[in-house]
Amino acid sequence: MSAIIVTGAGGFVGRLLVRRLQARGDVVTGIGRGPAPADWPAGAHWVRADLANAADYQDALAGAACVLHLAAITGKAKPADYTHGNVDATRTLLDACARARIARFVLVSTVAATFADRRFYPYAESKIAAEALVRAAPLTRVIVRPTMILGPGSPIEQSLAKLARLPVSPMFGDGRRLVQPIDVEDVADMLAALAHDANEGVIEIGGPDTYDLRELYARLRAAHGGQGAPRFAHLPLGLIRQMLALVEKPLLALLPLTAGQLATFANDGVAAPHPDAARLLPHPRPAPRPAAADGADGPPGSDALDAEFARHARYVSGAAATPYQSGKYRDFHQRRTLAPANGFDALLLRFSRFGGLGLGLADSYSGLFYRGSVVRAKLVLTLAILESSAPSFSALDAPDPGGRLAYAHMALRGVAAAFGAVFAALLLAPAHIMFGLTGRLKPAQ
Amino acid sequence: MMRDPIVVVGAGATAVHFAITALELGRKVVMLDVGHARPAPVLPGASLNQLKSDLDDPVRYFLGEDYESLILPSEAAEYYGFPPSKSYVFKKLPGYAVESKGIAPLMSFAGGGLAQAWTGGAYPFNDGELEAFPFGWNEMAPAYGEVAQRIGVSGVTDDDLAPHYPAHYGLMAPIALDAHSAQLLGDYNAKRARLGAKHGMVLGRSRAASLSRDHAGRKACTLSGRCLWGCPSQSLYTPSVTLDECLRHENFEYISGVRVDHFVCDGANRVTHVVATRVKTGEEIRREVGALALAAGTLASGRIFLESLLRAGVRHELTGLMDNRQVLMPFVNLKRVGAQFDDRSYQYHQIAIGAPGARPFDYVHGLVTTLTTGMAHPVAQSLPILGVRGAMGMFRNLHAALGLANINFADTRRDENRLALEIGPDGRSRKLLVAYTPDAGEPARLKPMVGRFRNFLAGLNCIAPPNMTRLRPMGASVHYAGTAPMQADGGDFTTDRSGRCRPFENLYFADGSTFPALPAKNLTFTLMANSTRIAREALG
Repeated sequence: MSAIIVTGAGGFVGRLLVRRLQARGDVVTGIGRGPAPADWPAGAHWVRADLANAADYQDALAGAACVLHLAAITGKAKPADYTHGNVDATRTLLDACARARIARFVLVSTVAATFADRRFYPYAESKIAAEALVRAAPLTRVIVRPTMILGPGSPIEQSLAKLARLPVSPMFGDGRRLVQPIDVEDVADMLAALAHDANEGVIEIGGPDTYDLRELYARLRAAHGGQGAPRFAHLPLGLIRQMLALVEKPLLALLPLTAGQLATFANDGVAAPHPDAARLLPHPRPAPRPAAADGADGPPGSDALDAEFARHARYVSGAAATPYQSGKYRDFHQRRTLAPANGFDALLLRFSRFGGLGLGLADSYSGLFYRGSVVRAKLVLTLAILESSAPSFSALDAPDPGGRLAYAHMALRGVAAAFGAVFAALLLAPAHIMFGLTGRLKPAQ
Repeated sequence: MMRDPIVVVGAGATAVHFAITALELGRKVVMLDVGHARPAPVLPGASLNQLKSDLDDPVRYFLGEDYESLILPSEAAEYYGFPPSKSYVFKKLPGYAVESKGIAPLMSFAGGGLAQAWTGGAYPFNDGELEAFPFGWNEMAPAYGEVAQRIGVSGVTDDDLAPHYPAHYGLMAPIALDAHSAQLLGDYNAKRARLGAKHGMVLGRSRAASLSRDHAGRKACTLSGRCLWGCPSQSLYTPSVTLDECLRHENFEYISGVRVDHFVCDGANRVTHVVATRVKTGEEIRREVGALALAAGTLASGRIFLESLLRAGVRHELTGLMDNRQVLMPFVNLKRVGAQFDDRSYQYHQIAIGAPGARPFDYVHGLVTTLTTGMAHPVAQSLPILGVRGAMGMFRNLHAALGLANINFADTRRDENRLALEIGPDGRSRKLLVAYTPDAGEPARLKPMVGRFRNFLAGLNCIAPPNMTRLRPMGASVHYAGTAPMQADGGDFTTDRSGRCRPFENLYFADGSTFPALPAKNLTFTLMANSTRIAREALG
């Protein structure tokens, strides 16, 4: 039984890890930026702190046997945020650990730190910098580099599975880069074991199988209830990364993804064999797990409509949907049919259910090439409901942002729209043309 | 001399002013009308945005019970959905069949008629515009004044448009300008000489049947921002105000819920009674007639007239149907981009643009509306290229900068434009045929004028994207006229200057049917004034 500190304890891996440690009898203190998660286990402590501010958590470190540092800025963020969240925070944490005389420190890094092609990828650079800080620190340290982590709640699994289930799946580049996904349970097991181990070093961990991205799509498609093998629309990876890189500094908030996030499609993401990995994780699980379909393709029921409206409302206005507004959205669908007019329309609709990215692309594409799409109709319905009722109408009434900035902001929006349209066209035009060629496309209205 | 009872068919702008004039002259009036009822105003004290917070079901109020005012993406989309609270105005009458060619006619069976949904423009025709009429301004001026006094008209008589709007009795001070209209007028005044010289056009305040002060039991405009949605205080005049006034007269009998089918004459071309059908039960009603005034609007009056002739063995067509062609020109005022609009402001047109032509009758009339309380979704989705989110983002900055010029063109009577009655295969059912073909010269007339308006607006820092300028279909203006024209010495089935239809002794047309020409200015105010004048000349 030991006192263990876990940063990023409320995250995708951290939550599982805390339970693993508790099961081993450890006393766990989690550190996170927000309040404790609703399902935070009894018996574990929670410290709300910004890692860059040691005073917030210095006292909590006292007497701990090991610090497991999982917290990191991932996904879509500004370069400065990566530096602050991944480098500066790690430096401050290491200094605090030194003051608290912590003996053992485990940094969760990423296989992306091994990528040869890290163009436009400040996340990978920030993790490399964090690794260097850890290596230089005067304590027993382990750096763990997991490959792509899949499993329930995995953001990347959710995103890729949606692409993989489309009738035509967009594939950035040729799809021949290798992956070796690892299940989140295995990552948690590995970290829990490392907390009590004595060895030092850099350990890359991955799942049991290595295959290419096309196979990953096929496995995700099967695991998520898709029928048959995926068909791919290959998109020019280099061009898309260049374009994203060009505009993401001013337009980050408006973009569905960043150039850096596409590095997965440009590099092999496999784990170099390591004796400690083989020793501590001898039988990794297959990833992705074979799982039941999530039903996202069926006709929308009332829960699905509520979720759709909430998604649309957030997308159109940033506003949260009220139950009254959600009820009106359902009411409309009971009175009138908003059904896809053809195969491509159906594809757009399914695309729109793929998070903010899918919705944004379907909307941009519709605006330019397919103004009669059912996605566009649903978004207009959403807008009409939001502008007719409180509290959302007042935000839609206000200029955005108005005053002297109005023209600059509109120009920015124009650039973002142009970019979104080009990106959407690259992604969707092949499918649009394919449906056209197979005679299932009605002319765009 | 008309004998009592004076039977008036219809309850719209024409009918109620004819009726109230007759009542004031001490006559007995019976009004027959379908009379679809208007809903009671909701939360009369609330401003437009307060409705969105305070109503139990605001989406139903703004989009309609069945979302009929929601505009979903399609090519033919209008720039605004018709307010559900006014849907009674265009509610159809079952069994009333109309077939049209080249025109999309709109009819109203509402108590108060089409003008229940008007925008209040009150423009007198001047001598040039009355050229084809068998009388001039001097004979119309008292009627304009009388109607202005009755309904309350606000406006000015000393700006650049004043020469085109003759001054009449009963004008009150204008209502406070909304910020965008004020900006346009200010910019115009700053460079009016240059704009006038360059474009030959003028801008000034429009005249509106809206109250700037309390008048005849109605309250002054409170700037609730609800014009489009139905003025809750009746400070924007609608004919139901005068209908209510008629109802207070002891000599007035209002029979609603009936559709008048035809009249019956004796051998001396004298109308003896009128035959109607109860809409709900199908029961036939006959009413004795001293004099009959057809005031149901050009289309409905024409149908009654044709049916009556048919029953008397005369198969006839009414020719000379007119309608104002309208061009809608949305624009963006560059000086207003990013501004916050005020929902508590007057919403209908407060300024107008005049484009004089070679002859006074060629004057083209542009109403400039800076409506900000219409729904955003129809306009936002009409922005080119953009997705819905991008378009709404743009729209929020453009909202206070948007305006709409509604450009009206004059029309003249031509024989190919007509009303006819088709007899159904069962021999009893009828279908009204409405046919209209624009004259061959229309494109050549419209195109340069549209360009002139665009350039004039550009001179006021306003951009009117050409791809958003829309030619409205014929029929959309709902200014139908001309099928029984007033002529000094016309033949059968024309009317004399007092609206009497030749060769009948006691049959009068009081509505737009009597117009021998249709100037560009919106006709409603003249409909009211003309029916008032007809009542005075025929009954006096």
